[in-house]
Amino acid sequence: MAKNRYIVLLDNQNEKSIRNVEKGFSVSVTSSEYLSKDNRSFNIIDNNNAVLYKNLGVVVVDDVDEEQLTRSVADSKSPVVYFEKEREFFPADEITLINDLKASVDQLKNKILELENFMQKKPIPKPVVTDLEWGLKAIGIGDTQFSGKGIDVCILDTGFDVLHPDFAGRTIEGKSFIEGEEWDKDPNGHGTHCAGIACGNVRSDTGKRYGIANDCNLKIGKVLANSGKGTTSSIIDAIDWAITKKFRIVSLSLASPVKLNEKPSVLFETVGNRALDNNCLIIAAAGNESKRPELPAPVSAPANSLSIMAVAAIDNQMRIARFSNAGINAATGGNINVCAPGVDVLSSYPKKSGNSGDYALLSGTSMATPHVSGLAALYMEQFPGLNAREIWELLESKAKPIESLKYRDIGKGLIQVIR
Amino acid sequence: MKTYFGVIQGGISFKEVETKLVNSGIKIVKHYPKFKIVKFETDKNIPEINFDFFITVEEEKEDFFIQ
Repeated sequence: MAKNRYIVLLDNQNEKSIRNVEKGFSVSVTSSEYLSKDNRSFNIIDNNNAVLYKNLGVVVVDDVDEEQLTRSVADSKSPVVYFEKEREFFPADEITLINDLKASVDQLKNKILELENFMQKKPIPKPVVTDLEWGLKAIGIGDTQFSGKGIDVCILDTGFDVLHPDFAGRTIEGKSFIEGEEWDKDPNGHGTHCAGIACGNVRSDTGKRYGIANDCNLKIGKVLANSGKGTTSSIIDAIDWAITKKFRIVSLSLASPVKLNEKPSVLFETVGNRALDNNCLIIAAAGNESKRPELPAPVSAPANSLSIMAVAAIDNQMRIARFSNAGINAATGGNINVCAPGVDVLSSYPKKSGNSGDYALLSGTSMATPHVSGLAALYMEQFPGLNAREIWELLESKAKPIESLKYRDIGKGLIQVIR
Repeated sequence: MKTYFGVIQGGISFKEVETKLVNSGIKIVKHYPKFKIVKFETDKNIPEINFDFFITVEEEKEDFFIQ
């Protein structure tokens, strides 16, 4: 029967302590210094004796009462301070070790294979790049981080569909200058489209971006009736309101045709200048009366006023739109200042009969104009120290000429973001 | 009754303009101080009236359309 052997730690090795151990545990303690090849420790221990290893301060003893050892540790008068059962140590089996290692390697291989399979089947995450409508690409919106934040952009048009899902949660201020019609509805749809280009963001269905100054403060003035028609009074009243409210940009996607060699309106020239004096930039559509290439028509009012920026329209092939008016009243004024995308432009649109979705493709200098208004808002955010006249100059100086197109048709060229 | 807009000459106050228009039997509809513009209504033949206090007088247009 195997005996339990104990390692007993003593707090000292004086004679009294050794005798205490011998007496308490009925053993004879032999000091390790007397061990030799003829007097080995296990022989001594097996004969109910104990061996004291003086250098270590321990006694090795077997077949003693473990409970007595426990009590001795607890007894402050006993020299025994600690004990533990002797442990067995076995030599490492190299084959077993190798086999264990092989098994671990196999497990690792399986884990790696599992991980590789997972990685291969895992869908590749799409890059976080917003797709842009062609007009936004053409003016370089992808190269700017500005969003028109804090800039008040006022769209004077047929009103605005405040229920459009892309503008949910957006604070929009507005006023109607058409008797009996409200600014926050847009049965026509034109105003909602123009506002979307200048101040919208991304399509709620596809995520494609169509709006430029997506973080500006959108202001709406209804100056055109639901029929799409307006008067001098409604426009002047609305511009007066916009200046009083200190809006920075007024976007006019409307026009009244003029005759060849007709002089610009002094009234609108005055209004445009007063707006600029009040740090407000008025941007207007050049008009759609041209029947190109044979018959380009002169820039309409009020865009033909020198104090109001006139915008022509181009298509996605960088050609002048067939309807876009031109600076052909050179003797009396009425030049084009810049051009912008204005053919097949997608933007927000109210749901109504004939239009089941929230978007529509429209063409016109009306669509080109809010591109300029939106970009002007980005410039104003980017260069907060510049006044309205300086922003105008910057829009023109950064515009890109288009090869084969005349100044008469596109002014200084296609507006561009400033990187 | 037709509606017109008059742009007031520099150096002339709205008060002076108002007095002259009222004395001529012309109804003032609105004054735009920021623009120095007066909107008024009359049936009279405009070219026959002496509007030397205005830079220009333009008749209201009703043909502004979406583009």
